[in-house]
Amino acid sequence: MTDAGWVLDPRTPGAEKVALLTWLMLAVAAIAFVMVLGLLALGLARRRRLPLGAERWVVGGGLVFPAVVILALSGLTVWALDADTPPAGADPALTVNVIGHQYWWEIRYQPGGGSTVSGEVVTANELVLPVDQPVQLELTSDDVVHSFWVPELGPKRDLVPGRTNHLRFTIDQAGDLRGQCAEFCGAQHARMAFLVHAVPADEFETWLANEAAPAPVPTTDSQRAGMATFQQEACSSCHAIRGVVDDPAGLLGADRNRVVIGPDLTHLAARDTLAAVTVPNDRGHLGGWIADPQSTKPGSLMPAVPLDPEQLLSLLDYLQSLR
Amino acid sequence: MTTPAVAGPTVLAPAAAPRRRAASGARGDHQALHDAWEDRPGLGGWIRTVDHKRIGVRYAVTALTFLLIGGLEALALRTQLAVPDNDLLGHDAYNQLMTMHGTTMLLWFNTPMFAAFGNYLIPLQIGARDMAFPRLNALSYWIFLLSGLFVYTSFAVGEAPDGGWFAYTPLTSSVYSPGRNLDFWAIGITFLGISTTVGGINFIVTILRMRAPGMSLARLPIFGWTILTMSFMIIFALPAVTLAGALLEADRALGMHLFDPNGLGDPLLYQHLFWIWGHPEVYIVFIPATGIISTIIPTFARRPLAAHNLVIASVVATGFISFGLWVHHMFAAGLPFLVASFFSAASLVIAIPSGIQVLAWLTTLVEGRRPRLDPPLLFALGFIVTFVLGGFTGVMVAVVPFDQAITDSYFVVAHFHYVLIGGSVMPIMAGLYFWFPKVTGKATHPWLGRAAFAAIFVGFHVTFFPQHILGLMGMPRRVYTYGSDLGWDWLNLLSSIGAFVLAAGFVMVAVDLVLSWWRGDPAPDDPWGGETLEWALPSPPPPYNFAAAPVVTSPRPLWGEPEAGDGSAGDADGDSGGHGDVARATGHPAWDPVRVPVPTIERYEGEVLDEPPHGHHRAVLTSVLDATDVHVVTMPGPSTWPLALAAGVLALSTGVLLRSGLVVGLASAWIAWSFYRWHREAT
Repeated sequence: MTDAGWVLDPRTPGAEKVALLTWLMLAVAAIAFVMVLGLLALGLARRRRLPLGAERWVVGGGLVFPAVVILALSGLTVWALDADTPPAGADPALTVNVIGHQYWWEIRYQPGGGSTVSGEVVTANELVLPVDQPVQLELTSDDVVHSFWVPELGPKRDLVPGRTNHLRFTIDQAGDLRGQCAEFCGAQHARMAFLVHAVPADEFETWLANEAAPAPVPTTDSQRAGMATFQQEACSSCHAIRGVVDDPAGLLGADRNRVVIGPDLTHLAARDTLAAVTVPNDRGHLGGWIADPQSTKPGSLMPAVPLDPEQLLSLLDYLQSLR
Repeated sequence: MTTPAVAGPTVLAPAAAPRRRAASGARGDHQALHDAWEDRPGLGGWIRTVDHKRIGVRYAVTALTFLLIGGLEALALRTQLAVPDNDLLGHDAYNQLMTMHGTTMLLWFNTPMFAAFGNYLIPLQIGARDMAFPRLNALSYWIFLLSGLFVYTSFAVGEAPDGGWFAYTPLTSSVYSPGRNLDFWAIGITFLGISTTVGGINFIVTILRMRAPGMSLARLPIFGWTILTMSFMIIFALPAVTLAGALLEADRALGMHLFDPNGLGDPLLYQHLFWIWGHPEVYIVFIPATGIISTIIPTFARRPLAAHNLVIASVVATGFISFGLWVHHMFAAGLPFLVASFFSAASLVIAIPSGIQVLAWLTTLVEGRRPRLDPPLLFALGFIVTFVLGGFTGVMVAVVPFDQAITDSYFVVAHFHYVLIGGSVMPIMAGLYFWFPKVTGKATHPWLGRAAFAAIFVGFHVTFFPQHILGLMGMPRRVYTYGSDLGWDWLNLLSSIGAFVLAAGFVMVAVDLVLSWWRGDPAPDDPWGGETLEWALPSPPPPYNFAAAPVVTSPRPLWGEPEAGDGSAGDADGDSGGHGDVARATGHPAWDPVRVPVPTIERYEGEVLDEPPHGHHRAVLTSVLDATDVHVVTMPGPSTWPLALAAGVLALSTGVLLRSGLVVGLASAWIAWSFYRWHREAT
């Protein structure tokens, strides 16, 4: 699990500008506050006449000074916002669709834009992104309004059902970051986080190629039994495992778009966490999550699927093989 | 009662030359006035009252009760968040308490509290006998009370609203919030909105038509200007939220799809409708607070408010500009930058009139005498320090890319608590202490108020300052818990400790006010040496306020300040114009405006204000700009129909909640009947 974010630790050019602007605004605010305290202290002392008269102080300190600050801030606003616009002739961005659900993130890497993979790559709750390459996120929601927020990467952007919002940035430093839903979305809004792994471009390509591949074939009997459990029980009604269950519960839409209910599990074992960064992705937590989702994340929309102990153990063997 | 239904005021011919009353007749007049205006004792009189002072006190007591309830809700939230992974409150309980905390504080405490101050003080400060529409005033109160009971019934049935205080769709649609929780919310705020809107209308007409003769708009006390501005803002803003609530309920109850993206609706439409009200709303609760401060500081500094006219212009400008800010609540929603930039510019510009007011208060203090650190002044100082900090973070969040970084995080929670508690609640506390002697005739405890201030000030900053940092550290708002690996533990614990200190401060205020009202020492009629007309009356004032309408010739009628220009603070060297002359004439040194024994109020004694026949209530109407052209009107008296009508609206709300056509039908009939009987009832 990763530490929380920090707005003042920027990892993109846009976030750098905002961080700089923030420090500047804090400095100006501190100076202005000291001046106000100074006047207040004078006000609590014996009466004195202000040079030039009270009205000139009111106009100077209350109108002119704020107006100058505001003018400066307006200009700086435009300067800070500019960083997200791609320069002319820039490489096409890596495009990732992020679709919000109660209470998890559906992530779909799109082909093109410098990606070496020819098809769509679907995962959940963890974004791996290349450093020094423009990334464009296309954001929408399947249900209610959510918001995508990684403090180090710059602005947050809402995921609004019925519209697609965009977020562009170029990460300039490798590292692991944590994001969290920033628009109240219901019962488990508090536990709807996600991870961002910023890695060098070649590492990203390796990861993406692995994700694009269908699910690893089970190699042991236990794993095969687990795969069978997955296919026969309720799991396959909501979760896809590419190559095993491509179309949960036959819910392909008219234009052959899958209606998505639960996260894609094709490479579940490659992820660090479960339930949108609620618990670590290890055998114990995975077993607990499957056996009783409500005790890990009460109000989550995953139902408890009753399984025999052997079924659960073999299912865990299978799921843990899905690297 | 044989006079016909009062469709409008009865206009008598203006009196000819005013007759001077012999002193020996005065007592008889006052007794007859007292008998005509005083409510009958017992429950009947209590229910039927239209006395603005009693209604004002009721508003205050009810609103302060909601403050304490909202505070308990906040303590529950802060206790849950004091440690990570806490299981004191589950998500269900937390989300309900979180929603009700915000809803209660802003709608059922903060806004009605200014209805309380306005109701009590405006008629007194303008030299009037009552509000323009006394029964409508009573209706406002009853609706406020009953809508509060309605929305709090949701707790009793375990279905309190839980969609956040702004209740964004589609989360709050019937699809994602199938229970009755959001019905309580949407119906409740629509119900309450009637009270607020009607109150705004009442204040506007009162201030524009019922000022004492000679009190031109330029001589209207600054508190009156802030209530007037607030009221205009109310009548323009409230319809937006009333519509938002009603349309949300229509989506939920009638299966409409206004906000449903799957049904060609738009969730952002809801956000716009909500915030078109929501932003002006916070200025609705800020502007009258500045009026309180602009009353208290000059009184304590013994110097008229600096740049008085500029301050009034700033108040009005703030009211206008506040309607152009609302999209700054939606900077992350994905609207084009060109759209956002307009609202960002307006959000920056509104800092200017606030800056003018802050400098006016500071320079008034600097040029005034050293003030006594009594609770009204202490809370005013607390306001300045806290609101200024909130204003600075406000300027920061007006900058679009910064806002996009920290909106919906604890940074913005810190910001709005700084501007709301600093900018509105502290002035409320100041105002309570300032006017308590006038309302009750008692003094507050010698040191409990000061101790309460200390607890509130320290507790507030310990609670909310760390939250700026938590927001920068990535903590979103409205989370019922957080993990222990995020580094948020210590700041949350500190914030929660501060919350208890803050709460203790409010409890101390409550204890002080209750005990002082019950057992406090008697207070003089004018303990502070105030500028405005209410201080000329006994404490508490008689039910009819003024036996004779005062004729006002100055903006500070009780400071003996004859007109010197337009009542501004004075010329460039800080002298307050003619004020110095009067001070010299009465032997007081300049810069020391101790109240002149014979203030420049001439008693207007004429036939028009003789004891009213048949116990009718009479009041004076004057013209809008200059308060000349005096007419006498008969005012409506006590009535049960406001309560009856409010009860009908409660029944209607319940019918919609229960989806019962029968109840809705019966309630509508009762409302129509109440309207009819109210209209028919003579004075």
